Amino acid sequence: MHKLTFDIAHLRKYVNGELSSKEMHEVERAAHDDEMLSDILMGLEIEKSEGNPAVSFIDIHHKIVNRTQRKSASSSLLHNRPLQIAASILIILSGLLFWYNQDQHPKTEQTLIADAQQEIIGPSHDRIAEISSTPDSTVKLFSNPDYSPPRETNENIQRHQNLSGNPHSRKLTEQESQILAYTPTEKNIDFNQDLAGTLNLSHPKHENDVIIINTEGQDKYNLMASNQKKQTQPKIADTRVSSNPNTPLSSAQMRARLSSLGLDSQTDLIWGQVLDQRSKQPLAGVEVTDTQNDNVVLTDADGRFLYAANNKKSLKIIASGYRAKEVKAEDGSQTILLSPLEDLLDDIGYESKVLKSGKSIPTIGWEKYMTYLFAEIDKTTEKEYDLSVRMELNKDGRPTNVSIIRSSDKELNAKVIYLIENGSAWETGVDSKNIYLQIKPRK
Amino acid sequence: MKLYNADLPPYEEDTVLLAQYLQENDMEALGKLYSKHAEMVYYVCLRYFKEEEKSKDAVMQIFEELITKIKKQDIKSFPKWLYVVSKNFCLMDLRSKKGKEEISVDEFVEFPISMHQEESYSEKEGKLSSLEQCMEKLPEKQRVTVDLFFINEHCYKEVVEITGYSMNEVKSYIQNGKRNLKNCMDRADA
Repeated sequence: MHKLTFDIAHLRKYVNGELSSKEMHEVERAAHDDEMLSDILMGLEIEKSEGNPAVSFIDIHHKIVNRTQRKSASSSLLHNRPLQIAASILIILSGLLFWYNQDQHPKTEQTLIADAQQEIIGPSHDRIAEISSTPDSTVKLFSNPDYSPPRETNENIQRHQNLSGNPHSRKLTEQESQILAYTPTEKNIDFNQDLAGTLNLSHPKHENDVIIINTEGQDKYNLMASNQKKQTQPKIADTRVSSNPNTPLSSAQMRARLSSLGLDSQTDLIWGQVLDQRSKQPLAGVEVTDTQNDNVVLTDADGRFLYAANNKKSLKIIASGYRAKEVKAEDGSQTILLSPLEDLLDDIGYESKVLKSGKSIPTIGWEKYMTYLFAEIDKTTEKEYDLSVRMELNKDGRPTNVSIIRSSDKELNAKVIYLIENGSAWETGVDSKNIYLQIKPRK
Repeated sequence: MKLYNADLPPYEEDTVLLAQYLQENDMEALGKLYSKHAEMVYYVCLRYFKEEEKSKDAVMQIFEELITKIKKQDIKSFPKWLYVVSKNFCLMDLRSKKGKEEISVDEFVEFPISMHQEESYSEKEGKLSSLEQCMEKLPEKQRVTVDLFFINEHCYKEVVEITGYSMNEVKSYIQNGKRNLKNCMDRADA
């Protein structure tokens, strides 16, 4: 965590160049230590370079509110078990009615059965019936007899058959008529195939039971809430049922998770968990790099990562504060232990903090000292120059072991060393064994 | 790093909203929590997708992911966690769509989570001296820019002015210089 915090407004000022040099440096330095900040800055810079006006987030907030309210509005219907059963009955009923109508025309028995099945089953597992109940709210029904325990299905059919003789023999409730109005006949139902993707079935009261069904669609996934029975066992390939959030995922489950991302099935899946060797705690946000092509994935909060590779080379695991490790890329599970770097220098920004706190200074003060250096060097050259010098202070505060780390003009090196060694003494600070000095006049 | 609108009370509100969702399944609480950080998610997405509309869509897709993911993990810092989820979403999307070669390691910013530790002076000295040796090994352009930025605390703009390199060059030299320094320090430690 940083001492400095920035909000988006401040960062926008940075991107627009409205901050002072010091403030800019603050942001830049913080971004070096904070990937999130750095990503946000890059996002803001992209926005600026596109020349678009700042995005209005009212739109997005509105969508979020809509999304959350729609869920709670629809949940009252979805929670209503009797109503759900009624809905299933009506769906099946209408299917049979359709069949019944078809029956007027001469057909072979086989075709009739086929038709009936088609109509009764309704939406196949990767289809979603989206039924609008009122203009301003949407009720989504997920109808799939495959998922219903057989007993229930039989019961539904039986009850339906009882009704089918005279479907209008009793007065329908308001809700029922509403549903009936949208009972899936071919006209009313709108199978939205674009929604094929990942379905997420979760019972609001059994929040740990989440079933994610990948239907291998290419399009964006849609999330559905449904009041399916808890014991329901999905029969489709690529499903994952996690009944306990703490249960580690099996290989097949991880595979399912990956394939729900739309990757092809032929890629090799490598997955694992990165832990601290000593504490055995998971490490989040660790970079897992494919040494072959430099692709990177990050571990999640549980230290897990998943990587799809077309070739099995090695993966490099890099985490700040830990010794980087290379592992062989193999299918299936691996646990990778990273050993913490005890004497880690996690970034060189660290050093300047040291320098700041109690660093050595020339006894005559920086301003005079630099003026002295520049004036003396200017006697030797008219060209621009830029040198970095490293030195130590002896116990009297005299610079010793002066060396030129970097120089724009090698001919100046000896002169600069001479000037420093014979210039002002220094007040010794914590950095006295390693003082860096840049000598470059500001224009 | 926390990113909040100035008028919102910080960290505690996240924790409260998160607990509300986890315990009561209160979608509105989750919506409120996510709304607070939606801007962050948007700009992270924009940084990877470089498309406004796609990034807006992604904000909603990530929200959908969140609804289930959030229950499976023990979240200590919501913004940090959300950032990792968002970034992973973007990277996964890019990889599945564009093919592998287009995401190079250079696109990723290094140093995910920094951990500053208190150390004794002697340890610091040891590091400083190996740092110095590493500095010497850097290519000149990296050395100059790293020096100006980290040691002399100039902002990028000033480094551009001083060196005459372009802004992108400066950023890339500092980034690479920093990485090289780190690698060098790692080797020195090994």
